[in-house]
Amino acid sequence: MDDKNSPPSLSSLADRVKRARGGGKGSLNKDLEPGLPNSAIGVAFRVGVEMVAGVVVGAAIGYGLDQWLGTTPWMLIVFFFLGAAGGMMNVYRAATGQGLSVGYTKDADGIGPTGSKQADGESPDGGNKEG
Amino acid sequence: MASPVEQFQIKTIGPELHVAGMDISFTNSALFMILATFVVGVFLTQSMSGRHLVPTRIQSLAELSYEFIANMVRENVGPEGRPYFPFIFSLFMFILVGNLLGMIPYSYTFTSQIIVTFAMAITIFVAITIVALIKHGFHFFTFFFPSGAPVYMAPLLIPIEILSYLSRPVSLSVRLFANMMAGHTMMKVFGGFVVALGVFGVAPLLVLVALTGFEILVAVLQAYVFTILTCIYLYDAIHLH
Repeated sequence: MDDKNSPPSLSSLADRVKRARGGGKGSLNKDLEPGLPNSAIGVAFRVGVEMVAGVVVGAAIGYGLDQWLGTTPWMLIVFFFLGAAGGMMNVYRAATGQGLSVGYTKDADGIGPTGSKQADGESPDGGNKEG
Repeated sequence: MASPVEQFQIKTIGPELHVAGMDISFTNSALFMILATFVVGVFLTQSMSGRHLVPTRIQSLAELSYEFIANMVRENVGPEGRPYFPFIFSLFMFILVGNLLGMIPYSYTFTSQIIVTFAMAITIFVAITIVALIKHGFHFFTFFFPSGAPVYMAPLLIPIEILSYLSRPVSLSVRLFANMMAGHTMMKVFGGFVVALGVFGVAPLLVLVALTGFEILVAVLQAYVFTILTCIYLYDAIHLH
């Protein structure tokens, strides 16, 4: 009767908060795609920036190497295309919802606790997606 | 009438200082950065000074922002991300307050300067790369070769992957800078229309009202995007597969 009306004690409240947070360890949300906003204009802008950034970085590195090694314009040409390819790769990753990770592709469930295990990182579908 | 891009001009406040050939004068950009830090500091310390069990309005604002970033770090980086929470929280608050201060008329938006956003992005990029190197040592470099790809593709794939990795700070900084600059330029252009069209300026004024709301959304959203991308990069650095 009495404990129905009285507010829960602080320690029980703390327990409940702890339980709600997954035992205080903190847990990764499995379903969550990288929580970027997915409106059409947001995606379009992200993809555009991603492409341009790749090309700009490639061209800048190529230009810098040319100045350094005196190989104008070969490094610029090579790195321009490599940068464009890198940008494309980032666009592909962003568009297929694999986050923006470079290198190994993530598992199908994206960011998740599986990522912390070494074995799961080398999923069989990793290579196929990359190709 | 003032040009739409005049608002982005860096103006020196006080005496011009030159040290070792570098201009280190105090500018309006620096002033607003200090102001943003100050606002964040006052907001967080003052709102939490009461420490009420049932939070007051301002205290719940502070708690909400804390919880928001704490959840973001927990969900996107995992428990290993905890040591980095103070940095990510500071980053978020700094960008958010900077963006929002820029919405006040006659103020200056320091996030509309590419050098400011790039400095933040390159710091994050270098720090995260160092974290990855410390955590994984030379194993980090396997990051640049996709598992399952044929070995003879390595000479092509590795440069592409490295470039795609190096383009991260650029895309991170350009995203924030371009959003802020484009939005503020657009507002100024429509503001110019309102003045120039006289009575008919009501039409662009309506657009401007909507645009102002949209800009506030963009200011918050871009701070969020910058922070969450930092979290995602941090996740990659820590886990690496």
